[in-house]
Amino acid sequence: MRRTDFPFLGSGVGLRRPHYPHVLEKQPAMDWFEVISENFMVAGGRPLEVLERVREHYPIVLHGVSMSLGSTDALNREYLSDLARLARRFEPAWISDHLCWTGVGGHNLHDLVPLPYTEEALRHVVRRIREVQEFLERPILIENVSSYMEFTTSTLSEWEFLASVAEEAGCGILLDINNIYVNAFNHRFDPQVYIDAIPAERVVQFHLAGHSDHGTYLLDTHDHPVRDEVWSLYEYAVRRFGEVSTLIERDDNIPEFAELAASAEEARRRSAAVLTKRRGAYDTRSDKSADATL
Amino acid sequence: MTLDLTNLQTLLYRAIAASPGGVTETPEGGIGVRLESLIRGDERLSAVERITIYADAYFYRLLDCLMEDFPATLAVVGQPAFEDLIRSYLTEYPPTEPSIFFAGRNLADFLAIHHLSDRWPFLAELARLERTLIEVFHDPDAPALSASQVHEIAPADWPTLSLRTRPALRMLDCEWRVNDVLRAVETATEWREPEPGPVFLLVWRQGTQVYYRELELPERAALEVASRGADFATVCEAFALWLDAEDPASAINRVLTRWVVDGLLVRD
Repeated sequence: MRRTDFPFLGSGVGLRRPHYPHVLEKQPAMDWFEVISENFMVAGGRPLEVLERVREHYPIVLHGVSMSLGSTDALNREYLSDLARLARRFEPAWISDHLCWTGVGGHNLHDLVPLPYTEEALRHVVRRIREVQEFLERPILIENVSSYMEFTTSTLSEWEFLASVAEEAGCGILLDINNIYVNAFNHRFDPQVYIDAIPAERVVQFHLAGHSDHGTYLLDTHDHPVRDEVWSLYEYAVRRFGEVSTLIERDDNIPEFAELAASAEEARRRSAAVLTKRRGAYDTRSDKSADATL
Repeated sequence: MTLDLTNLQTLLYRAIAASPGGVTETPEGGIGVRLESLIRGDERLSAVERITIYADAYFYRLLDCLMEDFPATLAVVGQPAFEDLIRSYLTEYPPTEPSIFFAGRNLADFLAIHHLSDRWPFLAELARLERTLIEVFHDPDAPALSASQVHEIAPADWPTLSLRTRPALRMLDCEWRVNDVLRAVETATEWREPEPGPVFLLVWRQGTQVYYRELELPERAALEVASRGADFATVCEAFALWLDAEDPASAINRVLTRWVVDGLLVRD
């Protein structure tokens, strides 16, 4: 699996309920939408009707929060069947979920809880991602989660774990830049070291979002605009990975659609500026090589 | 002591969810491991404080969801009592499904035996009505029998015409007029203790909107028969059985017209 196996979608935003009327009536300019899979895994009614109409005009991506790839419970086949049915109906550009567990013993925490970064967890989650990909008959993307605790038993860094899982499972990576920033603060590491360690060809999508500063820790709340420090890290990531489909997430304190659209435009502008500069540097190097040849 | 992944997750789950809104520092289960030996703490946050972030997120995420799903129940009992209610509810009915949509599906049953129902005996029925609105919102679709389709039915075919109610339709028989409480909360007017019933309620979805209204007994009986699938003659018999003095034909015609306008029927 390589990034080029997937289409480049540009800059998009997460489709959220308060924006349904605006999106359906105005069909605003937007490269693509990401939708939360579970919100549409229902028998019928308004959610599916909305998604039908949105899909007529925009590419979409299905982003799940409940696959629980890291749980030691058996994979939920009913959930996967519903997801496969949804994918057949709406033909998303890709399907993603998180590198975490969300419940155990048949219970669900409705939260993204990190795994210990151990060989045992690595083997476990790789096997399950392979099973999911076989079931869905497509490679999926896994997202790095924000976290507030580290396990004493971890023997790998978070970035080593993510890179190894993606390489061994043959899946793509949805790299959440804000989560890297949040975790770097919460667990005291250099976010650029994290980004440098991720295999570039596997990064298919970026997430950008806002967080809250609680003094002793940062909380990934998705209720603020993207902060300047995260924009800077995004630019660093674009320099490292090149052109990657980017999505603005907002789940709380949701503003007018125009504000999110402006953030998507900001991502597009910053990415283009970085890539232009990078190409300029490359051209300069090429010119120098040509001069040397002459 | 090193735990395998299953035991680690079980221990953490208990720590986060066993006492909604707090952390269970010595979770039951006989593992006998302290959280501090599993989670790295530092001078900024101890291990327990770090898990508290997850415990708070668990409780408040579900509380927010249930406040949104049960606004009238919340309005009746008030915020502090509602929070206590949800704490005890989540202990009894922790979420088991991938979608948070299911989190409130047992709240009405839980309220039926909860002490809050001593003070507000209509509370469980009110919660059941609110939950039904949500479920009907997500029920399967089916094309409704339209007025033009009705006009095309030959008179001779009517008695044997096979009808069924649409999937996005439920009926509730209530002992209290809880629909009055819900309507008051929806219109941001002051709610009052409801009058005793009985009241028969119809909840249905038309297009993407969910509606509810009261049913008279004959209409309730006829819809009950139609919900199981029946020919038109049988539906009419059920209707007429409960009718008082009115001319059955004109009453049935009036009700059928309303059913078609409201999109309640499919042709079986």
